Amino acid sequence: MNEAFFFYVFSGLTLLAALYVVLTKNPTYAVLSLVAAMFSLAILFVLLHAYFIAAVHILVYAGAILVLFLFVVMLLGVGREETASRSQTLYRIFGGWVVLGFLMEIGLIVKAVSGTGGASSPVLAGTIEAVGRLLFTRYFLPFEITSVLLLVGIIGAVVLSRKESV
Amino acid sequence: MIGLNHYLILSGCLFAIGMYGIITRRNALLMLLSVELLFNAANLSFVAYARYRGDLTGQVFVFFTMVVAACEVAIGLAVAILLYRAQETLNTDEIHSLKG
Amino acid sequence: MIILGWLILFLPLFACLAIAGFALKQDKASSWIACGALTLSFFLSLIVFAGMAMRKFPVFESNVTVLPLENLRLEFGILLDRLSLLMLLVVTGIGSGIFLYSMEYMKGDKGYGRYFAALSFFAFSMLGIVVSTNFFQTFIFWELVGVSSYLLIGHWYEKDEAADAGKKAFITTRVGDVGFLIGILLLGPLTAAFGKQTLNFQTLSGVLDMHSGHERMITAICLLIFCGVLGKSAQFPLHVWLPDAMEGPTPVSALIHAATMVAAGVYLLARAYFLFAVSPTALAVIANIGAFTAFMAATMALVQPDIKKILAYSTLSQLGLMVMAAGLGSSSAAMYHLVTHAFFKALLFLGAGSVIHALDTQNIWEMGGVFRRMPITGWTFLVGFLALAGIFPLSGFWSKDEILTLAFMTNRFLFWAAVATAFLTSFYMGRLFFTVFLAEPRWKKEPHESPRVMTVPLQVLAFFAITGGFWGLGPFLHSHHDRVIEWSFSVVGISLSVSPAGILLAYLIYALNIPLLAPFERVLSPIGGLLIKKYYMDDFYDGLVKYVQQNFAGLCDLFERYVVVKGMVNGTAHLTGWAGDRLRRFQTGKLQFYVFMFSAGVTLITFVWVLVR
Repeated sequence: MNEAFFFYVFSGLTLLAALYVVLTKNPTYAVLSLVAAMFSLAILFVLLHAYFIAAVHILVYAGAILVLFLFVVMLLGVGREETASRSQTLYRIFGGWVVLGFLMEIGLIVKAVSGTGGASSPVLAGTIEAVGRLLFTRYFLPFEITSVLLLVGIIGAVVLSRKESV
Repeated sequence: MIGLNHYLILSGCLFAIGMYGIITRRNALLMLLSVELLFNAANLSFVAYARYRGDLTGQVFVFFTMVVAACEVAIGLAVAILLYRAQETLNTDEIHSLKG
Repeated sequence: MIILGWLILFLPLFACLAIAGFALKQDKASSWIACGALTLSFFLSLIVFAGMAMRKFPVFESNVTVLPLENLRLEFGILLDRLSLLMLLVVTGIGSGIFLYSMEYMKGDKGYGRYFAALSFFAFSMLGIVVSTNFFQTFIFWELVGVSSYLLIGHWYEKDEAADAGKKAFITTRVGDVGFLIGILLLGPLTAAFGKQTLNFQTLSGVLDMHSGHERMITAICLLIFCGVLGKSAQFPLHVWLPDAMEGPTPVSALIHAATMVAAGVYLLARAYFLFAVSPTALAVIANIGAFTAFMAATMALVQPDIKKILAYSTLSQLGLMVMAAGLGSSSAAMYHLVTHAFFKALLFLGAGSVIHALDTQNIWEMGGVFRRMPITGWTFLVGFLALAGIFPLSGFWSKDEILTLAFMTNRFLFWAAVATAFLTSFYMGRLFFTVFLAEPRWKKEPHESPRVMTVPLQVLAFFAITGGFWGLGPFLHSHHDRVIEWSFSVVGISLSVSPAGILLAYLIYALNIPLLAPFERVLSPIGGLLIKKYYMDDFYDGLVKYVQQNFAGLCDLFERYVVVKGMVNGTAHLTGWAGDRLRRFQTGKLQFYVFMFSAGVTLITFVWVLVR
């Protein structure tokens, strides 16, 4: 019961924030609403017993990635988005149709797969210890590879944003 | 009561909103932002599955996607900055030198 | 024994390859190689013949499978029975004689080596037909003989007429060969209906003896195979190439167009007689075409001024008689006449060659009184002439008599046609002989008798022409499909009165110059015109090519140019370009557009996927 209450509240919050992200004209507001969405999502994660993930989620997304976004927005001085031109309206309309279609499909799929499985499995707690155990045993190789990936990312970013050396 | 389906539908809606975002937004940065939404929708479904199937693999995957997302954002923003430097604008309507 | 058979066949081929490979420029070497190979083949043929004779002529067959197909085995082989052994002797014997004759006749010719290489190749091909065991092998060598003929007729290719004649020969015989091939192909289903598919002569003979039915199909096959005979043995309507083939060197005419190649058609008839014997319809057609050709050719020979052309038409006429004999029921009579004809026609051609060599002309009106200057040539030519006219007791009399008796027994109409032909034959040959040898000399160059290399073959052939009737060739070749022909005094009487009558008439007109025909001039003149024009047959074929074939080819050309090239090829390219241009518009360069397309695509695909589930 509690669970249901929290779920509906916070999922609604997430959706609202997400909508604000895509609809607002002010970029700064967009980033900040995404931060809000992240927070709600983290709470949903907690509801799903994914404690570690929730924490990491906030740390990484809200704390790092979106801050980075904010930096860039400020740096570039991105202004308010102009009013829609004619092509924009077209995009909005057709985009709307596509999205609605997508939603329908989701509904169909979910209906199709419901009934299989269920809540018959034991609920595992997503503690650091549990996740860590999996991470360092079964998924060790991907773990190491992602570290390489990070390295590549860093180097890439640095190289890209270097000024042309004279 | 709150079953897997609820989370899946939520994830789907988030994804749809993200899709609308990237189709509609003209600013490159805001497009990237919407992509983050997509990521998160996926993450949510992963975690939901982890919870309802009793396998923590889902959460491990979220871990990985977050790492990847971080890299992607870093580089994407670098590219955006470069774009701004080169074209003086981030409006995707005006960036079409690849036309043809 | 079998090894000898293979050797006989392949020796000339080796000679040809040796000459072509090494000795094309060395005249002496090439002629010695060629003559040596063929004479060796001849001696081997004698040995084989003797060997087989001792064993009372069993049938020897040896096959090598060339292409084992699923239902049918395609083979090459050697078949040694009475028919093939006899033909082997004829081909290698007369061939050797002619090769030797050529050594002198062609001396100084620019293409001496090439000539002997081609001759050897011809010998190989002809022998291939002779020893062939099945229709497939026959057809292959049939075509090879056609090629050899083309090469030899067009030996002096710088001369336009020679080159054209070679082409004409090849193409005309090819037309016949189409029918031949279809006939062979139809044998497949026919034999399949009788059991196992085969093209082998011996096997087919046995099969047809046992089974019956399928009359119409067999008749069709016979007529189609006869098309090949029409072409190769120059029967109507494919006879037009033989007179033109005289453009080739005279020994070539002697060998190919008198004694051997044109005889291949008759040989095929004899070989496959078991097939023809089953279909009376086909036999009737064959007999009539043969008789018609015989008579028609004899009429055309009456007005020719060229000595070789007269002999060519004479060959056509005699071939017609052979074909008629086969059609009337006796392949052995046809083959008998073929053998005797080979001797005296080769003799006549070589004799003509001798005269041409001495006088440098081929026009009989530029000769005359040659007998005194070239006695050996004269006497041997006389022998050949009388043999051809069928005068007792020369070989030609016996074989021609067989045919006439056969016709008398079976088809009176054709009998009288043959008799008329015999009369004309004596007449035009008389015309030739008296004009060339006995009339007033009209030559521009002084003739001398030819050297021994040329006159010896003449004498040898004359000997055979004289004695050929006494060796019992008729009974030797008799098969159970042949009608039995009995001596008939009435026939002998008729023929022995008709032939000398023709000679006498010719003597009066051409030797004594009594203008017997003058009162008939007004009637004969237009007929003569028709004859000179060869009944307008050449013009007919010309028109056929010019108006039918060329226009059809033009139509095909138009089709190709507009439909295929412009339409399909260019059209495809055009279409591709247009499509590319259209599709280009998808590359707007705008990110938003791409994203939209992407999402729309994903949605659509998911939709389809969901539906499918």
